[in-house]
Amino acid sequence: MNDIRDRYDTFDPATVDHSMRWRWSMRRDGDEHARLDLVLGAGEDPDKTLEERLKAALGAGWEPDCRRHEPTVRLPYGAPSSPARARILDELEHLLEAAGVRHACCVQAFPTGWLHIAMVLVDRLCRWAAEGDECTLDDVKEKYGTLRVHVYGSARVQDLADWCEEQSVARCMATGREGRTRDTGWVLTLSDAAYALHQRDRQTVERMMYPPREKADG
Amino acid sequence: MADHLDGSFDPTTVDIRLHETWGMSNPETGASVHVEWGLDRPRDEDLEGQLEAFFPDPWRHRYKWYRPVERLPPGAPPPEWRAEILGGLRRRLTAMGIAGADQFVAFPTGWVWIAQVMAHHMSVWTHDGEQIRIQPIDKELGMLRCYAHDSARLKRLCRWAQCQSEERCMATGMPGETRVEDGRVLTLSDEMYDLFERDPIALQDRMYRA
Repeated sequence: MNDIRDRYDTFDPATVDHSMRWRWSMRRDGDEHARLDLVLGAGEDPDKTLEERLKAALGAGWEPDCRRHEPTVRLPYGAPSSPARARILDELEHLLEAAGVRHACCVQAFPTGWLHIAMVLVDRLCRWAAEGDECTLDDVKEKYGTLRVHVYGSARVQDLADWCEEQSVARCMATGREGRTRDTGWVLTLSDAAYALHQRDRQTVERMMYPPREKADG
Repeated sequence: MADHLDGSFDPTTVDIRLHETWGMSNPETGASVHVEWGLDRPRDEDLEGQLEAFFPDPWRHRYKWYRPVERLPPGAPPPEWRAEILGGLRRRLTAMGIAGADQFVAFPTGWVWIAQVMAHHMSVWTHDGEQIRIQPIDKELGMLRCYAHDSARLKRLCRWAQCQSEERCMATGMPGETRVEDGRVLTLSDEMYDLFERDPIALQDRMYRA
């Protein structure tokens, strides 16, 4: 992965914490600002007994809000430039193939703004494949403005897929900066700047997310 | 106050509501529990006691605190405007009969917008008939400390101001961190911390230009 890192930007996927943790929340009915968040440590399993005790203590009017498996650390915002996308993805696909990860071509679906996520995914899959894990990429796609990564493999491979999906939330698909979902006729996650540009010039933003490949010479 | 000093910041539109919060954490695992009791709702001390019992050792670092519903936007007026803005606030509040308004000179440049919000509400509440007495306004451990008497809403306003000063650069109003250097505790952005290390007198001038 070093040559990719050095050539395109300073992002180093090897240093990224890919651990996940559970968040369990309750909120008071009718008051969106009243809430309890229980965030477990990385790798800890949900504690149903504790949740029941908390529910009973908070009493009527409080109700479970969500249970989420979320990254322990948010990936810093940022992304390589759009023109570098094709070469980065080709190199990532090559690394996956060399590591024996099946359906490596699925990695080509990452838009520019989520390339750092792709780089972490590939870094871990290659490492774990070398350690003997079975790793198959079944499908990678964007749906409703967030990433979907379908994998077949060990528990840590499944967790890694969850990590990738969660990191795509609120991350601009064009620039990797902070964003939110926008209904443009197609639900996309875009930063304010990318969304403003999309309203003026939809095609440019589409080319930032998924730049067309240059045709081969001859 | 001169028009040019108003800048783009409008203290009358700032939300001064607070969440009362409670929480604990487990330093060994990084786990945490955090409760927000709701907009301007008082905390439930009995319930907090019950919750605490669910998190025995090694859970610790229990806190009871407040969180502003909205963080003030980052920013501040230029340092050369500080004295005139604060002087204007002091004169206005004094003329309204608020005791201790001279304490407003304690605000550094990065926290002037906090001062403007406080002064706005104090003016409105004085107009409503409330008698306000400001006790020392000071900086302690990189945070604002202010006390005003004698109503619950004034105390909440002071808490709001204190919360807003957390992680707000005292020189620029940009996001900052608490820095300890030579026995001084200051909240500074990275840029202003660099300035502090290179030229502490210049930083002092940015924070407290007369």
